[in-house]
Amino acid sequence: MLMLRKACLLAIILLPVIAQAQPDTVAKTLSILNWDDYLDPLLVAKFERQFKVKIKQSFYESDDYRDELMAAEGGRGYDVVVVSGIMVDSYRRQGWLASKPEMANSQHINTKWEGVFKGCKEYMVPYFWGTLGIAYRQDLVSEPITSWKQFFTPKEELSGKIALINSGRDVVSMALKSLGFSANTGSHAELKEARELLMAFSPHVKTLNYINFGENSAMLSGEVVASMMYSGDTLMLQELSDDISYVLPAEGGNIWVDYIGVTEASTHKELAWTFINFLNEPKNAAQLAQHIYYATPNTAAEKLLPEAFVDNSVIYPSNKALDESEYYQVLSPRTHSRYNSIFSQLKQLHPPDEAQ
Amino acid sequence: MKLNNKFICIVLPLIILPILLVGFNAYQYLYQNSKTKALFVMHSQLDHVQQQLLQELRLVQANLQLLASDTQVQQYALTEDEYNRIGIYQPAVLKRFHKYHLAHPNYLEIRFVLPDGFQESYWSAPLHYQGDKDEAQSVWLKTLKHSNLKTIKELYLDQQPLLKAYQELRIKNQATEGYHDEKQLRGYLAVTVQLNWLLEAMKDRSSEQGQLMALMHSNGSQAVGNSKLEPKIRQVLAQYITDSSAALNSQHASAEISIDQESYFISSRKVWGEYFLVAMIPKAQVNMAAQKLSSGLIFITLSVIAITLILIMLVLRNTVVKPLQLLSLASKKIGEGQLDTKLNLGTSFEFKELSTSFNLMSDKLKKSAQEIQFMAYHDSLTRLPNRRMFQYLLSNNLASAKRKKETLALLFLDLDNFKTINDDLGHEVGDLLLKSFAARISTTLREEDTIGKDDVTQDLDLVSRLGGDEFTVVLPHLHNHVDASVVAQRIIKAMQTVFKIENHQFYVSTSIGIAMYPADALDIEGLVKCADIAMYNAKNAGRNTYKFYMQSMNVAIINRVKHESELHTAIEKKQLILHFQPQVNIQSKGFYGVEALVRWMHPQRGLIPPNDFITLAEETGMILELGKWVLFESCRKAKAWAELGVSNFKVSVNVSSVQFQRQDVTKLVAQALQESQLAAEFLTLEITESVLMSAEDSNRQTLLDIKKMGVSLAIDDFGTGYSSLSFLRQFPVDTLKIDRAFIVQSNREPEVRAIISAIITMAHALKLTVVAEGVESESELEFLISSDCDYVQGYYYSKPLSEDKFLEFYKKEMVNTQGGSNIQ
Repeated sequence: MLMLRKACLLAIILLPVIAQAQPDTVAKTLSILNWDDYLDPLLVAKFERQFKVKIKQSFYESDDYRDELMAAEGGRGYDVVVVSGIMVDSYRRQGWLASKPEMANSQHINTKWEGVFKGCKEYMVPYFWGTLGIAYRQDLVSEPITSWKQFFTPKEELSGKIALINSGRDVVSMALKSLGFSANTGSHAELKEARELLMAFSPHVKTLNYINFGENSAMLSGEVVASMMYSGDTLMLQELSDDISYVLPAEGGNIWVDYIGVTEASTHKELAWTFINFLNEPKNAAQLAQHIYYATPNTAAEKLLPEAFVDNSVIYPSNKALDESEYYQVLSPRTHSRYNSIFSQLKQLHPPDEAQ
Repeated sequence: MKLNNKFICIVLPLIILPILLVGFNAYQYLYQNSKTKALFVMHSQLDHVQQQLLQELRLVQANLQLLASDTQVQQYALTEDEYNRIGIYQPAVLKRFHKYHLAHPNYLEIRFVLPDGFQESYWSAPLHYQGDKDEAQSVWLKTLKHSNLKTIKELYLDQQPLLKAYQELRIKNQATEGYHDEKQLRGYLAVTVQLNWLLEAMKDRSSEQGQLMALMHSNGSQAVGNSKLEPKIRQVLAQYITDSSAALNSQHASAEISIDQESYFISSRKVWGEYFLVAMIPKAQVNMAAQKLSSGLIFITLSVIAITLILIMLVLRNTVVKPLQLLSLASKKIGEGQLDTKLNLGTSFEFKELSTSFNLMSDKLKKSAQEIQFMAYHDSLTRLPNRRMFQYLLSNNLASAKRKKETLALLFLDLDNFKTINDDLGHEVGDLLLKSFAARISTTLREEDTIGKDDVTQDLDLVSRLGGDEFTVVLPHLHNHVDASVVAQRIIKAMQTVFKIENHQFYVSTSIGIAMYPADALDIEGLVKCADIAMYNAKNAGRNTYKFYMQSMNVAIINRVKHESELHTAIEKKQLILHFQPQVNIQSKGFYGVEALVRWMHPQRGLIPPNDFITLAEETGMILELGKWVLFESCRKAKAWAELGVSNFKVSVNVSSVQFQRQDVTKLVAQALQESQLAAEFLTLEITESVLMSAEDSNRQTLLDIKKMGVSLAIDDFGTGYSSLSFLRQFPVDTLKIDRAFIVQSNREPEVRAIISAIITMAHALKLTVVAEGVESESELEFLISSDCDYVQGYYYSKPLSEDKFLEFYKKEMVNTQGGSNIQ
C-alpha cells in the first residue's frame, strides 16, 4: 500500500518531466496493446525518457475483444502485445507474432512458464501470472463466498448484483468448474449442463462487463456484490475498501499466464524488444509487480519484492488452492465452438456495453 | 266496414308491397354484397398474407446475402486454421449473428454450416437452442450441392411455422488465391425465421366470418392454419390446390366446394414451390351475414309498416274520419232539432267548404224553422203573438208573478169603430190599420220606461192579437193599479195621432179593459174574462177610455143589456121625448134660449132621466141614432114654434163625442136644418170638451164646417175636462157653459168662485159668451151677476119643461119682457 502511494506521489512529481520529454521523441512511437492498468506509468515514462520514444497504449478488457482488435487489422497496428498464454500459439499461427531474439534479462525469467503454453518459448516473454476467482463484498453477504457454486447458484442477497467477465472461455469454464467439471472439458453432456446452469444463472447477472476497479467501481458502491475477477485487480480494489474480499473458489479457478511479445507487423521490433527487456530489469519488474499486484515470473525481481507482497495469498495463492485450479488448454475447434455458442446465448440476455 | 278499416285495406297493400319488394331486392343485394364482401375479404387476406410471406422471404435472402458479404464473416470463413477460426474469429461472427437477431427478432437461429454439413457457428435465441447438428444428410444441403441453386428455402408448418433459408457462402481468399481461381465453397449460412406473424395474419379478420385459412404444402403433408385442420379438410384443400394450380389463372379465382354437404367458397394463392395459401368461407356464414342483415331489414319493414299504419290512422282520423264524424254528429243534432249547431271541420279546403255549406244550411234551416214556429205562435199580419202564444206568455208571466208575489195587469184593447172602417174602406185598409194600430201599441209600450222593462219578457211579447180588432197587453211586475192606468192612458193618448193609411186619414180610439192579478182573478181564464168585461164596460162608458174591472160590472152589464134592448125599442116606439130648459139673460132677466134635453118615457118605469141611459146609448153606439133623433126633433120643434111665433131664440142640442167619432156631424146638421127648414142661426150645438180634446184635427174641421153653416157652438160642462181656455181659441166656439158642479160649489168655496170669475173673465176676453148651468139659488145668481156672467140656466128660473109647459113659460116671459128676445 505504502509503496503504491509513493509511486503515485512520484508519478505526480514526474509528470512535468514526462511532458517535457515528449517534444524530444521525434520519430519513434511504440504502440502497445495491453490490458487496462497493466503497466506502471512511471516505468513507461522512464522508458520514454531513457529511449526518447513515445509509448502509445491501447487497452482491451477481454480476450475476445483483443482477438477482435488483432483480427480486424490482421495483426497490424501494434508493436507490443500482451496475450494470454492460451492464445499465443493461435497468434503465432496467424503470423501475428515476431520471434523472440536473445534478450539480456531473459536470464531472470523462470523457465517454468515457458513450457506451459505452446509457442511461448520461441515468441513471447512471460509477463505476469494470476488466478481467476471471486471478489465480493464481505460486508454485504451473510456468509463468505468460498465456491463457484455459491456464485453460479446465488442466494437472494446476490441476485442481480453479480458481475462477470466478457469472455466466453472464462464464463463457460468457470461454470464447468462450479459443476465439478474440468475447465477444458470437451464433453457434450457437461457443456449442456453448463449451458443450462448459465441460462438459469442469467437472471441474477447484473452485467457481463468486467467492472472497473477505480474509485467509482460498482463494487465499492454496492451495486455489485460479487464478481468474477482476476486476482490482482482485487488488490487494487482492496486499496480503496477493506470490505473487498477475494477467493480462489474451492472448486479451483483458472491459473492464467500473460505473455508479452512483439508483433510480426511491427516496424520497431528492436525497440519493442528493448522495451520488453526494460520491463524485465529486476528492479523495473519488481516495481511493475507492486504496481499491478500480480506475481511476476521474474525471479530476480521476486527477490526484490517485500515480504508482505510475496506473502499475499491473493497474489501468491497456496499450493493447495492451486491444486484444483487449471490452466486453460486449447480446445478442439468444435468444442471451442460450443463454448462460444453457449456464451453467445448468455450475451443475448445481457448484452455488454458496446464500448469496444 | 268502417272507413278507417277500408282505407287501411286499400292503403296498406300499397305500402307493404313496395316495402316487401324493396326488402326482397335489398335481401338479394345484401346477399350478393356480403358474398362479394366476404370474397373480397378472403382474397385480400390471401393477397396480404402471400405478400407478407414473399416479403419475409425476400428479406431473409437479402439478409443472408448481407451476412455472406460481411467482412468478419468472410474473414472467419476464409480462415482455414480451424482452431483460429473458432478461437479468434468465431466470437465476432456470433456477435454479428446476434446483431442480426436484434434487428430481426424472429430470426431464431443463424448458423454457419460447413460444406460437409457440420454446423460450426451456431447462434440461437436461448429458448430455441437446438444444439449441435450435423446436416450432412439434409435435403437442403443435397439440393444446394447438386444443383445450381445458391439459396434454398424451406417451410416447416406446424404450430410454430418456421421458414428456413440457406445461402451458400462461396468466396475467394484474395490474399492467397489468384484472379482465375474459382470461388471456393466455404460453407452455408442458414437462418431460421419464426413466422409467428403468420398465424396472427391468418386469424386476422377471418374469425368474424368463420373463414378458414391455411398455408400448406400441395400434397397436404404440411399445413398450418387459423384453426385445426382435420385430415379430411386438409385433403380437400390439397385437392383444390392441385386442381386450381393446374388452371392457368388461379389468382383471384374462387370456387365453391362441398365438405360434408356444406358449401364453401374457396380460393388459393401460390406462395412458392409447392406451398400454397388457401382460404375457405362457409357459404352458410355468408348467408348468415345476409340473413342477419335481412332479419334487421324485416324488423325495419315491420316497424315502417307499423309506423305508417299509425300515421295513416292518425292522419285519416284527423283529416277525414274525425270531420266526417263531426259532420254526422252535427247532422244528428240538427235532426234532433238543435238548429244552431255549427260545424268546424278544420282548415282543409274541402272540409272548410263543407263546413261553410253545412253552416249555411243549418242557418237556413234554423231560420225557416224559426219562421214556422213563429207563424204558429204569431199573427201573420201584425207579427204579434197570437191567441195560443198569448195563453202561453200569460201563463208564464202568471207563474212568475205567483212566484215573486208580484202584481200583473191584463189589458184588453178593442178598436172602437173598426167595423165601420172595415165595412166602409175594405179589408185591405182595415188590415193595414190593424197593423199600424199594433205597431203603435208596441211602440208605446217600448217607450214606456218604468213599466214592462224586463229582461225575461220582451216588449213585443207583451202585446198579442187575439183576433179581429182585439188586442191584449200583459203588464207584469207592477206595483199597483196606477201603473196599469198610466199605460192605458198612454195607449189612449197615442191613438189621438192620426193614422195615415194609403190616402186615408183616421182617428181611431180604443177601449181598454184592465184586469189585475191577483186582485181580480188568479188564473188565465179569470183574468181574460175580467179584462173582457172591463173592456166592455169601457166601451159602454163612451169608448176611448179604460176601465178597471169591478165586481159591480157584472150586475151593471146585466142591467145594461136589458136597457140596451129597451132603448132600441124606445127610439122605435117613440118613447123618447124632448124637454126644454130655458136659459135667461142674467142682466135683463129676459129669455135667451133653450136647451133641448131628451127624456125616456118608459112604459113601466115612467120618465127616465138622461143620465141613466145616455151612457148606455154611448156605450152601445145607440147614441148615434138617439143623437140624430134629438137633433132632428129639436130642429123640427124649433121650426114649428117659429111658425107659431115662438121664435128668435136659440135651441141648444147636445151632440155626443161618440157622434163626432162615428158620424159625419156636419152632414147630419145640414140634413137636420134642411129637413126642418130651420134657420141655422137658431141652432146651437153643445159639445163636450172631449170632442175638442180627442180630435184636434178632424173634429176641428167638422166644427168649422158647422160654424160656417151659421150654427153656433157651445162647450158643455166646461171645467170637467182638461181643456184650457187658450186651447179653445183654436175652435170656432161661441159659448161656454160652466159645469153645474162649479155653480153648486160656488156658494161654499171662494176658490171655486175665483175660478168661475176667472173663467168668465177670460171667456169674455176670448169673445165667448158664458152660460152658467145648474143655478138654483139667489146667492148663486147674485155671484154670477157680480161675476158678469152672461146667461144662466137652472132651477132657479126653470126646470126642464115639456113642450107645452115651455110654450106657457115662453108666453109668460114674453109678457114680462116685451120683445125681450136678445139675439147675439
